[in-house]
Order: sequence, then C-alpha cells, then structure tokens
Amino acid sequence: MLNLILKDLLVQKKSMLFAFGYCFFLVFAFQGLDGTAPVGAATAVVYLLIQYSFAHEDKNKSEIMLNSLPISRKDIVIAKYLSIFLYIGLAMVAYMLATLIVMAIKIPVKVHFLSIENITTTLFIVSLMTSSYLPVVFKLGYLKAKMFNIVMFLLFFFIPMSLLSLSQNPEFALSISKTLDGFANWSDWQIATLIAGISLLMMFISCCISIRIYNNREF
Amino acid sequence: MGNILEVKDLRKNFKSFALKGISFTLPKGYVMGFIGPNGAGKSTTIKLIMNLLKKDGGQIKVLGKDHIKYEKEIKNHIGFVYDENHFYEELTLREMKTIIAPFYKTWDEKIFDKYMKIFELPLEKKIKELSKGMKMKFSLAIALSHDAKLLIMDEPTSGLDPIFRSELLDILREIIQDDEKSVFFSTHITSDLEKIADYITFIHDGQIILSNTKDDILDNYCIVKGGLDLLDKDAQKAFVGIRKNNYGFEGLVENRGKVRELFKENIVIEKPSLEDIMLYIVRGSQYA
Amino acid sequence: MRIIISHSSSEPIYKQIVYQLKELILKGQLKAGDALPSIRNLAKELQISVITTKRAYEELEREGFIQTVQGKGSFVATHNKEMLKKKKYSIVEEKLMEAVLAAKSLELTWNELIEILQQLYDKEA
Repeated sequence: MLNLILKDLLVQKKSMLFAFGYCFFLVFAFQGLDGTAPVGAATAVVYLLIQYSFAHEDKNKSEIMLNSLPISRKDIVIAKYLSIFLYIGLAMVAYMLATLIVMAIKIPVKVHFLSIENITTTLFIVSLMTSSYLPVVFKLGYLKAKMFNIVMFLLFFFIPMSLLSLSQNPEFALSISKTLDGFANWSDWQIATLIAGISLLMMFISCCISIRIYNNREF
Repeated sequence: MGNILEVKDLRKNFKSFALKGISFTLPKGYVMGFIGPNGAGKSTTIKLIMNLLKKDGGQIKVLGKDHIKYEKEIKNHIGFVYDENHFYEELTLREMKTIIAPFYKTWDEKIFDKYMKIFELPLEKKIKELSKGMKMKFSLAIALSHDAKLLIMDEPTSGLDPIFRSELLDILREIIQDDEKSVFFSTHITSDLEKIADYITFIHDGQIILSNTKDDILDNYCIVKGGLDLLDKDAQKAFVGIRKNNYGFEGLVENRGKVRELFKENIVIEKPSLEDIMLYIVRGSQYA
Repeated sequence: MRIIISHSSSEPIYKQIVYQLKELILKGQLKAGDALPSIRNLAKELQISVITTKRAYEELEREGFIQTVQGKGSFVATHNKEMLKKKKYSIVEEKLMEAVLAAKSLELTWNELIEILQQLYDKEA
C-alpha cells in the first residue's frame, strides 16, 4: 500500500515542482481575496496532483501492469484515496512556504495565513470534489472521465453562484440563517470537527463505491 | 507432474467478437506456443487468465488453483511480459524496480541484478529513453526475478529484430532447464516457436482449432503437391486447405498416412511449417 | 559424442536422435554406465523442444539401450554381449530385408544377390 503511494509521488516529481510554483503564483493572484487565497490555492494544487496521478496511469495503460502484480484491486483504490490526504498536506505546506518566502523577501503583497477554518474548508471542498470524481475515474479511466471532469468543474463554478442568487430569496435565506443560528453557539473546533467528520464520511462512502466499481473494471 | 495451466470452456462475449468456450492444458515444465492470426482471441485469453478481463463462463486454473479465488497467490507465481510498455515512462529502471519488488514475496535482488547485467540495461536511465527491445528486456527481467513458475508472454517478439528474438529464445531455453518452470507464449510469428515449443495451441476466430504437442502436429500434417489431374472430388475432401494454379495444386492434409492411399504416385510430400498449417487452416475456413 | 539434427529431413527429429544414440552405443563410443545429458540440457544444446528429446529417450529406454534413474538422470544400459550382438544383427537385418524384397520384386536369383552384396562389402573395405 505504502509502495503504491510512493509510486504516485515518484511519478509526479516534476508535477509537484510545478504545483509548488503554481502555489506561489496563486499567492499573488488571490491577494485581494481574503479567506479564498489559502483555500483556493490548496484546492487547486490537490486537484492538479490528482489529475496528474491519474493521467500517468493512463499514459501507458499502466493499470495493466499494476493489476498483473500480486496486488488486490482494493489496495489500488485505497492507496489513491489515501494519497489525497497526503496531497492536501503537501498543498498546505507548499502554500505556507510560498507565503513565508513572499514575506521573507518583503514583496509588498498582502498574504493570508492558513487558519483552522481554511484547513477544514479545503478538506471539505476536496472531499466533495474527489468523492464524486474518483468513482467515475475508476469506472471509465482518466481520458473518458475528462468530460465528466469538465462538467464538474463548471458545476463547482455555478453552484456557489446559484446559491448566492438563491440566498436573495427571503424565505430560503431565513431557513438558512435559522440552521446557522443553531451552530452559532458551537465553538470553532466543534464545527471544524463536524465538517471534517462529514468530509471523511463522504470519502469513505466514495471509496467503498470505487472499490466495487474497480473490482469489475476491465482493461 | 500436474498441470501448470488449465483452461476449460472459457467464454467471453464482446459486441463484435466472442471467445466460444475454449479449452487447453499446459503440463508443468513445458513451453506452449499460443498461435493464431491477429484478432483470433490470443490477447483476450491472456487477459482473462490474468483477470484483467472478466470471464463470462468457464474455468481457469493456475497451479491447480482457481485464478480468481487465489488471485494474489497465483500472481506471485506468474511472470507476465506485456506486448507493449506498461511501465511508468518517467521513472528510471531502478525506481520502477523499487516500486514493484516489494509486492512479490519471492523477489530476488541477485537474480534481478544478474539479468540487468546480461541484458546490459542502464539502471539510472528513464524508461522512456529505452528502445523497444530494451523495454522488452526490462519487462522480462522483472518477470524473471521473483522465481515465477509460469511465464506468460503476450506477443513478446512483435516489432523486434531477428537477433533479439533469437536471444529471447535462448533465455527461455535457459529458464526451462529448471523443470518446475513453464512458459505460455502468444505470437503470430510462428517461426519463433518452431524450435522451442513443446505444445502448440492454435486459436482462430475465438475457437481452438488444435492443441497438441508440436511434434504430433508437425508429424501428422503434410503438404501435398501435384498435378491438377489428380484432384477428383474425393481427393479434394482430404485437404484442410488447398491452393490451385494453372500448373498444379498445393494443399495441406491432416493425415499423412492417408495421402499414400489417395495418390499412388506423381506427388510431392513435404513437411509443413507451423505457418503453413496456420495459413491453410485459416484460408480453408474462409473459402469453405 | 556427436549428434547432428536436420530440420529439413523427413525423418522426425526424435527418430534422428534415437538412431544416432543407438549407433554411438553399438559402436562402443558410449559405454555401459556412461551418463547421458539430461533431457532438458540436450534439448537446449540441440535447440529443439524438451518433449522431442523426452520422446527419444523414452524410445531408447523401451528398447533397452538406456536406463533412467529418478533424480539422477539417464545412463547407457548394461547389457550382455549376446544382447548387443542381437541388436546389431537386427539393425542389419532390417536393411537387408529391404534389399531382399527389392531383389525378389526384380526377380534376381540368390546368387546374383550374394554377388552384389560381396561386391559392395569389398568396395567399402
């Protein structure tokens, strides 16, 4: 299992450097946006790494090789899910390094540090994204899943927009604020734990679905 | 003794092609050549054995064990050589080996090093920098370094030059000096098998046409050549496949003994090659 | 020990091996108790399949020329002089039978046949 994750890292040596550079760029690009900067940067980096890791599997149909080794298909799937957490960690580190460097060399840019809130939000968004995307890749392979990928990208773009317009609707806004009131007296930690819990549950369910799908996959 | 590979009534349906219940057996310690034209079902069969495709029916046993129930255990004993490169191109040979080796219980670093030396493979080079022949050799080195009992090779010689093909056969001869090891080898270049194979299984259009020892096949079949006047209706029936020209005919007969009964004289009898047998059978069925 | 295999001969390869090994044994170049190469090694050296050499050894064993000891390999069988002589005779008999049949079908007399044989024997000497 560890070996499978190590493989993903080795294959992506170059992509990771690129991702780090990208992180640096995002620190500048998002400078006006307050909380969005760290979340946006981390999510983008994780997204890139996941995409690359599947693209490498597809390039030489390496899954044929993997699946002829004495590895169970379940392990291949689980390794991919576990590697996501690793990517999240890496993305955070990359973002923090980027902000530190920007500060150290005193570039006049407004930087945002990572907060607990940022981390849980990133975890939540990444989980939402990957738990819907991975079962599709495990079913269709990277190339065919690309279409789905584009649709999903657009959805992620439009859903917040439509939510925003929905919130203009007074009745909806009222019900939302009522729900939120319920959370008002929760501490940050409690909310973070709840969101993290929901994220992990989503990933777990998605992982189970992916295992079932991948067990029947043909190459 | 026992069998290393048993395939029984194996079925697989695709939209435009079907494997129609094929069966064959490879006894332990021997080399089986799996031949047939492109699209006959060779790769499909191999992928089914490796569980890369899901069978629709039938049974596959490797080392006497069901290939799905004991998948992991069986794959520990199989060395698989692919028809093209499926390794990660960005990695060096050493990195690729480091990733693969721990999955095998019986990985032997010494044997791997030995083959890397024999094949003159550069450990620090990236896989994408290797020639096709070298990629093939690397794939073979990996397949041979975990004491595999069964070596399965899918068209390993396609696209390689004659010198490398002959090197490969020498390596295989070396491997089967150990009578615990067996080789299952698919190819459409039958001359590769002419010398080394103990058994030949011939697949055509999703069906097994023959599966027997190579010696029996080559001893039974013969090529008959003669004048057109000799070809009456009865005589023609005896042929598996036949080709006529203005000056005579040439055809394949399955039973060598029968030829002398049919034609008293004026014919030439020749030993067929595997390729002759394959061509006549495929053509014969097309024009029948 | 010399074994030459022809792939273009109409004689099956295993028979070529049987014949040549028999010859080596009858001529005394391989002596009783001498070890033969293993089936797999001979196949590798001659670049032929294992089954072909196996078949040749089985045939030689059946005819009593060699013995196979499990786990140790194959050896030239020990046989008494009487038996060796019989085997030598049987090889010549087989060839002479062909000559006799040919002579009869061409209506040659016994004396004529003997004369031919005498001439051939002297010429080779």
